[in-house]
Amino acid sequence: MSKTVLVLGGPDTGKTHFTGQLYGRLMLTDSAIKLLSAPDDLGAIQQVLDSLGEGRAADHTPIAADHRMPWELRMPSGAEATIIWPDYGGEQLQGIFHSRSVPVSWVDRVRDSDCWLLFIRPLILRQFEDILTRRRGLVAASASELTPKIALKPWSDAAYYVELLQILLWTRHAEVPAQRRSPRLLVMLSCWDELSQKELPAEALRAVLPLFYEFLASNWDSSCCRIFGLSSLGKALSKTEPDQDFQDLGPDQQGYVVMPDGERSPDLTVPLAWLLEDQT
Amino acid sequence: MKRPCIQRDCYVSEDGICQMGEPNAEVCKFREEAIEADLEPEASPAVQWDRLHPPWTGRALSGSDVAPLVGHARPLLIGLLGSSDAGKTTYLMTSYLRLHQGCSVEAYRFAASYTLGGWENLADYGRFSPGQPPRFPPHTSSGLERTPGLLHLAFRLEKLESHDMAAQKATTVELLLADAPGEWFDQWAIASDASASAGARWIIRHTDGIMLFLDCDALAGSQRGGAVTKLIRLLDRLGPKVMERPVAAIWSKADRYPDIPNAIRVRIETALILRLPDRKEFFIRAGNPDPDPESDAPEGGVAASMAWLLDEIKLQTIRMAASPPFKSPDPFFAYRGRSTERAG
Repeated sequence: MSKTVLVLGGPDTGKTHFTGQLYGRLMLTDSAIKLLSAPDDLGAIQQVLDSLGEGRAADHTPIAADHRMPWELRMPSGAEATIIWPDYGGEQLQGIFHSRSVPVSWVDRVRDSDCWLLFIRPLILRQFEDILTRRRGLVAASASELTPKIALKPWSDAAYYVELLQILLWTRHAEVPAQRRSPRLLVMLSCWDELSQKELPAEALRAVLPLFYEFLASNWDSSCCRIFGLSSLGKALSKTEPDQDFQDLGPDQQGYVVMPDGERSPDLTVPLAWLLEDQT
Repeated sequence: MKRPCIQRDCYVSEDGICQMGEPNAEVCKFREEAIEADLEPEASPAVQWDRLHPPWTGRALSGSDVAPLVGHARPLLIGLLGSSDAGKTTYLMTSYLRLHQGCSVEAYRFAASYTLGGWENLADYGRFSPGQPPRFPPHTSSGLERTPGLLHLAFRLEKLESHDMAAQKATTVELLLADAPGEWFDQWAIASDASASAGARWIIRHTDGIMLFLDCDALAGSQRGGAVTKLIRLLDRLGPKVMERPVAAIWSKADRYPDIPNAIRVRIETALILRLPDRKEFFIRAGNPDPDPESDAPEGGVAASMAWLLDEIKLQTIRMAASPPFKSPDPFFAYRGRSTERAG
């Protein structure tokens, strides 16, 4: 079985740390999914692994970076699977939104991918108050606003994510809206350790991006869209100052995922196992 | 053909609509820059052949933009009618802010929109930002357009099958909302055939359902005589044109409804009964929330009115027999399939 995972996430949403930590877990014998063998060339992962091994955060992935790593995996069922795991500069995804266009290099991977993994970091989302959330009336517009705006204001993050997925689904010639089963979609709410309220991942997403949550509910069959929480490192790390505890325990002992039902697991391969399992 | 605007997707010379939302393309700063630079078409930004461009920009659509986007489903068009400042644009802003909060329009859940830029632009007026309280959206200007900007929404409708409570049948409803300047309808009420009334005629011809806004503030204020005259004139013009289409009569700024003199109310009710006997009335206070948190949510009327209209239009569509295609040069007619032309 060969599958292509499309990893989607803007800058600073935790993709690179997850890649490094996921690799570490895949090398363990008690993970749900295991690597059959180490890839010939660790390439870009090596820097991440080195940084984490020293208790430091990894460097920002360069904008132009575009790595694809083939991984040979043993699935929980015993079957073997090959996946191409990508790592790229998160600004490329933002570029799709801002340029309102999809580079040819992305078109094939969007069309050929079997499953999508979308990283959203709740803490960096902008939250608006408006006349409905805060019960205040409207005032008359100021004189300078009596002429309609020429430039459009920046969009809310919820509208941004809806539009991004609309563009990607259009690239796949997919009908919108429609309750789809493909591609399978996993939304990973990253840096979960930054959040103070511990609710179910789906509730957390609904709270920060309600419009996007409704979009997902309307456009994916519920069995084919899951929301997980993720803390790849368990805590924040500095890029410069090594964290002694992190060094001593080792990266393999740090980090967890939060299942849709709220349970936590140190096995970071579990979300990937769901994403890759054959749909019945 | 010399394109007078340096914006790649702006065809202001063809259909009169400035893609930047500028009501008067003559003063759009991008057009001014183009004229100054004396740009020839070849000098405009090159099409990037190494990138795919979706056929929507997120801005409000014009009639000709719609066909490539919604070919698989027939969109419903709702026209918002009423005098200037009656609250049409504020209604739209409040509708989107509700959706943005995750609220559904009764059984209709948000599923998609190809005009998120247009919606976000409206929403910005209703949001708090540093140094900027929420304010009413500006007056929708008349400008050069002959067709209104159309805001798009797709809903997923979840209804339980009556014979099988366990089964849920989900269907999609696509909706276009036409927010036109009030002056269009004031003009149309006076002279329906005038060239200045072309935009209003377009809406009346194409719309599947109508939201008619009755401005309680104007009807209670010092200029109420003029306001009620305009309203009755509009009702007189509209009544015969409605035919089988549902009309939601929306009393906006309804906190002022009690202040409308009884005599005025009677005149309006008489005209409504005569011209729109099958209307349903709603009272809303979008944008001016009731300070009592225990009362019904003031924006509740916004959802109820839209849901009722969508339900009624769908029922009406089922009742209508299939008709042969109707040929018209107007691209919006491409999938309307109506055999009876409604005069505007």
